[in-house]
Amino acid sequence: MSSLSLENVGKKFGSTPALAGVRLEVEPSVTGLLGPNGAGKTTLLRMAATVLAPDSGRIRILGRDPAHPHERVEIRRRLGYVPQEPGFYRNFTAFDFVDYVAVLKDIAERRRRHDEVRKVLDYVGLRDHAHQRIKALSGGMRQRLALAQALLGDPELLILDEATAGLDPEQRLRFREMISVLPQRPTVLISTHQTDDVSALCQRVVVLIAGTIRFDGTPAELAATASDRVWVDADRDERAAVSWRTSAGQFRHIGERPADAQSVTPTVDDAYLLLSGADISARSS
Amino acid sequence: MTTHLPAATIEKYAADALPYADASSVEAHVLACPACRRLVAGQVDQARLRAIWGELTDRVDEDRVRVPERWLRRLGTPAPVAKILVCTPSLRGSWLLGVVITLALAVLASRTTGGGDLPFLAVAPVLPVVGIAVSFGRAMDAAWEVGEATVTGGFPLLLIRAGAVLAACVSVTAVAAVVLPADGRGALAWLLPSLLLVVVTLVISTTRAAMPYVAATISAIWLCVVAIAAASPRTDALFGSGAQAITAALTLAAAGVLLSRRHAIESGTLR
Repeated sequence: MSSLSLENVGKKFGSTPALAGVRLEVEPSVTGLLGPNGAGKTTLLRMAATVLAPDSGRIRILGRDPAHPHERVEIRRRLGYVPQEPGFYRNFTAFDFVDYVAVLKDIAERRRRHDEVRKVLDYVGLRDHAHQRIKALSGGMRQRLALAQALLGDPELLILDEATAGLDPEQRLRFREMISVLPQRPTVLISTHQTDDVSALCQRVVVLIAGTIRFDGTPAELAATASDRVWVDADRDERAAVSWRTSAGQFRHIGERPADAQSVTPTVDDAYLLLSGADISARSS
Repeated sequence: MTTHLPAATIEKYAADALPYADASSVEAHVLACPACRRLVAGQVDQARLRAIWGELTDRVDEDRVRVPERWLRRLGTPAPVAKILVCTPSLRGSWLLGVVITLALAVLASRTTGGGDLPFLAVAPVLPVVGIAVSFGRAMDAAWEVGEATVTGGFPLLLIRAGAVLAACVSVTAVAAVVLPADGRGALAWLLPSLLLVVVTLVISTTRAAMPYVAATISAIWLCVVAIAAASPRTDALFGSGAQAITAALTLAAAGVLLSRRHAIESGTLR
């Protein structure tokens, strides 16, 4: 059974379409949602988190229909969500904030709730900072705090919107480690701009551009879409859709490879740039 | 030479069978003696140890409950509800102070301008509307979206917060009403209009309108209506018994609409 199923889902904000005819089945795994700003990633994740209703189409989350109030409550019991901007009560301590979310998650019995709060703070490495005010925590600690609240109650579906944004490389590695070894192995749906997060963490990647799904497969399959379309040269080639000078001093080009150029092994980054670059070209023409 | 604990003493300590004074001696000794500490640790029942440790850490965390939350609990508020209420933006000290100052000015105007209790009746119903508008929604609640995806998010959270804001405003306003001019109607006449404005604000907010804007519009309309009534010879048209009966009926009808549309709130309609 899919953890999340979207059938022809559409959403508009005013006259601007955010999602158009999206079909997606998310199985238990770590799935990365990749796309430029304004692609509809956050809209899709907010729907998956039952915070936003679609204008058209059907959504099923953990086998239930979020449009029905009772089923929505059941979904929320089994859901963990880190929004793009989690927002904290800055004068609260880390413990207090997670305890508040635990109350909202209906973990009413105090002793059990506090045990649960300690458990998630321990997991994200914030136990020693539990009684520190949130305003005194670093950005990385706050991201971990956001993850801690989402892990309350051992969710079956974990939705993380740009959860690695603003983290330094070491914090991102720690974050990947935390997500990849979650004890209950929930279905994880994570949106990101970071293609290396996708390569390192996700069994599956979905590329969303301008509200439609442009790719759905494994990171290796995504990289393979750029086969034969990446080449390296000493000089910049104007025929490339995207090109940049690498640390080795050569230009890496992505696009329709000229016959005389030698292709190199593409990465997820190349394939993503090719997909999003093609979209930019199509829109500008 | 270091004297270690006899094996029998360790066994009794681990079984919780030592008198209090002897158990305290054992505890003082193991603090300084790693060898005996290891022996005691090996014999203590792990489940019991976990239970004691859990209770200890729980007490430590409990002591750090914030002061307003502790007061609410002492007043009989269930602990989870107290926790939710201290996170309500419009129940913070600055908001309540604002309510008190606004009401004080309204009472002062009622006593000094010769307009009777009209200034008070104009202002008092609006305060809960504004309070509820700033207690819920993305613009006012930093952790709104996190809360929205939880079991209590949406309508239940709105009801808890709206109830608390109403209770706080009604308490403060009731105290203020005591010092109104003796011939006034203000002591209770503001209550039903206030309820109506609150419920209508919530109903309109179940569409795509943002609650703070709805609250501001409704409040402005109310103030205009009172101003028009004040200019007319029959001010009772708004606060007399007939008007109150109509207000009560409208409030009930609006509450029915709100109940039927509560799922719109749970689907994240409110901003």
